[in-house]
Amino acid sequence: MSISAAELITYGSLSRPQDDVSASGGAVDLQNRPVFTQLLANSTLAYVSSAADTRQVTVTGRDTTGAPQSETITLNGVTVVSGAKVFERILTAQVAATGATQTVTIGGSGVGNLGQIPPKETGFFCMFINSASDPSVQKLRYEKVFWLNSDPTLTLTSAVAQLAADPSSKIQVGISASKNDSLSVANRFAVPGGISFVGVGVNQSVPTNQLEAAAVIGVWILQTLNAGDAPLKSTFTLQLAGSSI
Amino acid sequence: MLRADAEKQVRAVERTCRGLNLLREDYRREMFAKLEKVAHSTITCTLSGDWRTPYHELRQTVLEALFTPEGATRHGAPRQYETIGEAWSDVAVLLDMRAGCGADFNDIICAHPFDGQQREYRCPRCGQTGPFTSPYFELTEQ
Repeated sequence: MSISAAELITYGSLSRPQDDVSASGGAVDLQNRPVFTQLLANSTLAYVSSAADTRQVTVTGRDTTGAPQSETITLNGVTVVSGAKVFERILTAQVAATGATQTVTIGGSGVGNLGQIPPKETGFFCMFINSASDPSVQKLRYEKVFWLNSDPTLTLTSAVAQLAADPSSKIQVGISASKNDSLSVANRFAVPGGISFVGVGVNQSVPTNQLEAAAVIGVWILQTLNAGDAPLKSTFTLQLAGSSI
Repeated sequence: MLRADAEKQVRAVERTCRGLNLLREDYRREMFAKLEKVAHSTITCTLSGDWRTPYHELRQTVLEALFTPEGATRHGAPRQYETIGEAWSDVAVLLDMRAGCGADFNDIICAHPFDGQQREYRCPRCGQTGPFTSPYFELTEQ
């Protein structure tokens, strides 16, 4: 059976800074994904697992004033647990330990599925947390994600990565020079050496034009905030395409 | 590193121009903003013990809301999505449909210093414009 789209998965890197002084990048973190749906309106959260489950889940985000806040609940298996705090946005969601078979789903009140934590993983996250613009200078920040070909045997050939959508026009992406790399930078202002960054109009091939089974390719994400930029809560879409037998 | 070696590293990754966007920029921005509101307003399912919460007809509903002239009827089988993110990505890609070009973008990168600076480019083949950031290499003289 050919590689399916669901087998091409985006994961975060081990160093995911929430400030401008901590390291950024590194090797892949196969327990955390940068994929979820952001709240569009203030909401409490709802938590449920797919099976018997008593793990704790911690969500960080912002309250309605914009101040950071977190909430920790204990799952009650397939019974929905309602959170008490009202969130203006979600930033991270973490379970205390991996589950062998359970999937944790987090939703907003009346909104449904905002994000899921699959078995053997621990969470999802938002990128560029606490990234502020400056009144007088442009700010460029670098963070890193990975594409994984999780198919156990097949190679994704003619593999091409792209920034498929960037509604806010703040993002460029740069593919790593080699697969399975662990390049990091001292902080997210530091430029990762040797990486070319492009926008939505350019395709970038995976090195050697293929991504083997269980291999990962790093993709650096460059966020540009111009001087005096207004607050922004937006998304961007990465796409990995290719062929398989 | 010598300039020639740096250029070789740049060209080790094939980069090609995707061509001009088929939709106008202001129209795309308007549709993205509308997409966010429509996607969330059409979700009516609730969390349950079955984590495979289906989003019936989300794509159909979103496309109808965005692109169908008033009074017209769309046809075709709806696709089910399991997450809002999946549906969002699908429609976001549709809004970034491009004409195709294939020009070697590495020629543009290699025509500029490897200084890590942001620049604007214009594709010599299709005329598409946009930003890019040159790679940073610490170069030595030959």
